[in-house]
Amino acid sequence: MSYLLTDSKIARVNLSTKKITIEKINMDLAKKYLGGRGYGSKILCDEIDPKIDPLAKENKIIFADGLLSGSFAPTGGRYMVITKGLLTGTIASSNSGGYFGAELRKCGFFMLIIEGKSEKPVYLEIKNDEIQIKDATDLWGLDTSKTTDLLKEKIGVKTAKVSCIGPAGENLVKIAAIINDKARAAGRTGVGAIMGSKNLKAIVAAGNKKIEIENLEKFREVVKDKIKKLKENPVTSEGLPTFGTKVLDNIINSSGMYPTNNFQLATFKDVDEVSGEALVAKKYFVKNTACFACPIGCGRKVVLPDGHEGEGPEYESGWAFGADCGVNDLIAITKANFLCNELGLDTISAGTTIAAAMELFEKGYIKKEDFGDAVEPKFGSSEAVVYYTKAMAYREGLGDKMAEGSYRMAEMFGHPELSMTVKKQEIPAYDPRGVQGQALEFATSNRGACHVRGYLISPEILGLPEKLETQTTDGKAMWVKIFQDLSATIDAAGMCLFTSFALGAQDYAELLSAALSWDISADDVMKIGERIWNLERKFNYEAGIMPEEDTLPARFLKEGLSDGPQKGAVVKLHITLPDYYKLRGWNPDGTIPESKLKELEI
Amino acid sequence: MIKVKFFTLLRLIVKIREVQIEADNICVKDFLPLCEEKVKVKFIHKLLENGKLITGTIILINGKNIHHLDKEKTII
Repeated sequence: MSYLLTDSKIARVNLSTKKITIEKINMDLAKKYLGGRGYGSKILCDEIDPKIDPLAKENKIIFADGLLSGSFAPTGGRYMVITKGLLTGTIASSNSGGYFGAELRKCGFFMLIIEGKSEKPVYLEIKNDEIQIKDATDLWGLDTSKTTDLLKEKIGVKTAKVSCIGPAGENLVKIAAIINDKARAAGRTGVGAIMGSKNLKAIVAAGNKKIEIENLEKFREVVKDKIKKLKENPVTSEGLPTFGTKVLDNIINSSGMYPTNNFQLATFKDVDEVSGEALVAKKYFVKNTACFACPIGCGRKVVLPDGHEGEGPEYESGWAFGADCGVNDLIAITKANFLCNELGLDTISAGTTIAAAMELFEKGYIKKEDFGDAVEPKFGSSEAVVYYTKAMAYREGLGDKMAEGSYRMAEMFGHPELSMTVKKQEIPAYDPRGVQGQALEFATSNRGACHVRGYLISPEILGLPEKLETQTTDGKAMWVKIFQDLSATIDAAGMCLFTSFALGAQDYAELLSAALSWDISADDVMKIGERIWNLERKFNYEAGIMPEEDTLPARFLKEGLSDGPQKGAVVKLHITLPDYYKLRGWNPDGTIPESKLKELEI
Repeated sequence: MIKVKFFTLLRLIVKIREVQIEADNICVKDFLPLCEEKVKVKFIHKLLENGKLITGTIILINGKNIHHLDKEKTII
């Protein structure tokens, strides 16, 4: 038996000295930052110099459960990986679902702080309270699926859960992901490379502690109410379960902001061949899958005609290897997605890096001698998306340059402007020119371009909680701040962002209060999120990431959308960004004044 | 002639990608029953409640969301 918070522990594992120490949770910090992205970021900020080389042994990588992870709060099973990122140089925190986070809690751990660097490959074996550092020489080089199977055999518990890297992380690919449960990814910001740099192949956890809630009846009642809301909302009750996030392909394409051919076009003529509807109609989709305690179930189990099976693609992955590369072959797209899971790559960055290479090739900046006898990186080539996904993970040929991410790759070919990135992280599947709020969010996200740091598509396109006009700038800064702060708290709580289609700050406040017997208000929820956001921003500033980087590639600021219903639109960051700084209480130059840090008790 | 494309759940319900309907100068609310008639499946209840758009309903006319036009009274 283990109480959700009071009985959970923090394990500090030093891979250089092999010393493992167990620490108690600091309740004051938990109240200020919750868990996951909050508490974990606070530890990172307090314990490392923001200026260090991300690959240095002094960098730390923290696996942090959300505060509610492991409870039966709806979707309450998520964990966060926090470190200084190799791709961006910013604070890197990447969130994943599946079952690993909840398993960690069943072992009695709330957080793992990994320090130092092992001389040879190792993995962590966690069996309830016991943590051991074990030799992983025989696992090095294996894909994530084989690694997972082998570790379950080694620990001797069929229900054990594994979080690991594939060859991409081992090869320090800057867009490497950490994969748990074979198909769930802490995907963004290259966290897999940091794990690889420490020679840490995997963590396997097997716990059987029952997680107790102090006021169980109250918590049960609140959870029931939130599940009811999720079941009543059309997105969380029908759209996501039926099509997964690929429910969006046709909607975003019809709205004229479905980036095609590396954001050169805003609509894809073959969208119907690659959409969520097509995945179902072509009968590749077999069944829904769900993460721990999730009543939504947006995961897709897919079987291709050749029998190859796996999970995905979801919207972003399908788009990255599809429209962004001009590819209309759903089988090739799905295979590239499967490869990312197996080799441990971020699907968004992998697909869009290939897309950038395709534009470099189209414009003659990548030449035949740059890829030799390998596949031409040509828009529309199914063969290319599969080939270069693998080549990237193993750093083979042109894939070695792609492994640096699209910005550094495009820079090597003399044209960084063809990399569609913010703070060197690839922009997800929404052309920012078509949505002024989301554009501002991409520009200001603390981990580089990211849609899940503030999903403005919800109000700007889906009309939830209310419909905002896409091109207006009025009020967008306020919406961005609200979504960014709320998302930070949801991450720190250990819940899935998708719950926010149906739930608001008051709902999260009720869940946290009931689970922990605390008195948290909706205002507290927003304040905690704001504190996390400012803490991350402060870290980035001290790391040398200046406010000047709160911007977008010139293509979005100067070139109007070339086609579709929003033809001619550009991002009006010159209007929204000053509004945003002012609303956040920052200086006009984007720095955080001391008074703000004091107000937030950072 | 008005071309109608069905997406997401509506496509599953009507089992058709698109239809073309002879109509002109008609508002969305009056046009939807013509669509139902054409596809021979009832689906308006998924979009409107008491004649008003349900929150989260997306109806685009040439890529513009009718929410920012004249809602269900938008002339096609």
